[in-house]
Amino acid sequence: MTKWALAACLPFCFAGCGLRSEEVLHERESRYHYIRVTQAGAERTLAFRRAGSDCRESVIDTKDPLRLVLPYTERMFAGFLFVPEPRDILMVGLGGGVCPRVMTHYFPEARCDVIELDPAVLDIAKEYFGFEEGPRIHVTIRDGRVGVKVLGRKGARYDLILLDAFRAGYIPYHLTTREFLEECRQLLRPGGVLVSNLWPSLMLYEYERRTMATVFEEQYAFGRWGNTIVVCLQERRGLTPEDLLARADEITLRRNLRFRLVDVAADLVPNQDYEPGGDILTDDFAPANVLNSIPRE
Amino acid sequence: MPPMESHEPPPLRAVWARRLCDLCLTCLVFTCGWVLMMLEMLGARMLAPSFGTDIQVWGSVIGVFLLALSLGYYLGGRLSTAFPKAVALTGLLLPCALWIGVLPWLHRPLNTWLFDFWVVHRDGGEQWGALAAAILLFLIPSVLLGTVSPFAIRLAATDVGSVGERAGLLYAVSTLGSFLGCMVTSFWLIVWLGVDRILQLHAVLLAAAAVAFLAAWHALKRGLQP
Repeated sequence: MTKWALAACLPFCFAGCGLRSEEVLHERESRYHYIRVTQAGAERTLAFRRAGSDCRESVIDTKDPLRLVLPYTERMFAGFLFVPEPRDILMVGLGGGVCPRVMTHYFPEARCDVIELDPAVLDIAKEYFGFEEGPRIHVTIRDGRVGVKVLGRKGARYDLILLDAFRAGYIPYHLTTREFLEECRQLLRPGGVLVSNLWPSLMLYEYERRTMATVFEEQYAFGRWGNTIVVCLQERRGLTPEDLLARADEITLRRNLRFRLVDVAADLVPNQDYEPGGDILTDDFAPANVLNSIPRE
Repeated sequence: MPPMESHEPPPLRAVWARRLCDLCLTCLVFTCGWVLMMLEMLGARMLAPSFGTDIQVWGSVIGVFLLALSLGYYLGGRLSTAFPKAVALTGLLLPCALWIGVLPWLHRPLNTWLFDFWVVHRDGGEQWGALAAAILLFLIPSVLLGTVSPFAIRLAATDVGSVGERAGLLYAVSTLGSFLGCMVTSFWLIVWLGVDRILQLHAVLLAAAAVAFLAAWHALKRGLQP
């Protein structure tokens, strides 16, 4: 019986192998990461680990560079539901540069500043992921916290701040604290929003949401499975799910989006999905990586 | 301390007093070793909000501590020759405890000021800011902690024949304290308490250890008097 079951599975195993056969295009040890670029079919992946599941930082479709392959990148567009006409965008964490590249494509009037820690990541984004700096995209190589602080002191202001410097397996704890979020908030113009990419299956999620709640007036979370993208607002707007869907429709039409922003809006996490009472993360108390290893019940 | 005569066995009371003196010294060096590594582990945490968590930040903290130990060993050795008294050791540790106790109010304003002065206005690299901050915040307390080992060896030394053994024991205990301070701080305290509370707790612990050591030492010395 078991033998037959195994035999029946064999073709699928091979099919699986066939799908996963990937070619390593580039592999190197940078100052901060182990960087690996692989290609499987038309999909090109940036990973910061040698192996292991769920280590894909960025994926592009080399035949169709505007396609957002990883579902979370579509959700990162949720910020535009609240800021449909952005002028200045700040992104912390470059990865393959998919978000800045695709966002400035759909929102050509916007400027995008990026802060990235690792110069090797920038080189690889340019070489393998079609990322380009230019008059509308400017990259600064710096620690995210330091970069945000410097921008704040220089009086820079943004409509949209995107935080995506939290890679699977390691959380830079100084980018999770209340003080950091306050520094980000000071960079926002009135009506601006902060968009953060979180992983909801771990304890850290609860702490991060509570911390955000102490700094921002209102939060909207998108994505009920996989990554949750949280949009933090400085002022309460009280938008209903219907309002968000209508806005998604309008933006999709006006901007000619190639993906369904409506689906992102529809994936709104309906109720508060975290425990409001409890510790928050501060510069003084931030055991981020410990919390990031404890599963949520 | 009366020199021990080798040709006749010392009285039992003196032997026990001697052992208890050694115990006092080992407890003190253990505590100082612990506090040193606690401070070092928290050092990078205090610098991160202004200067990031780069390896250069860690390198600055570790480097400054090693430099401080080097200075502390030298100064401690010199001082122990000039003034071989337990009260001098306590006198070195109390300012150290005070410094650690004041750090929670010191590190944020100082780091912010250095950040503005160096990174924002002079466009300097944050690694140099981190190094300067590490020197200003941690050099003095870790120099003071560094003086403890040579000083303790001087106080423990009774004769040339056993000095190596006693020095070895004190180094071993001090470094064991450092190991445990490092592990307990990074594995547990950081999760339970937060940086400032850990610093305050250890300031009290160090001050208490220094005073208790002095009290016990003098009581034992009185017991040794014939």
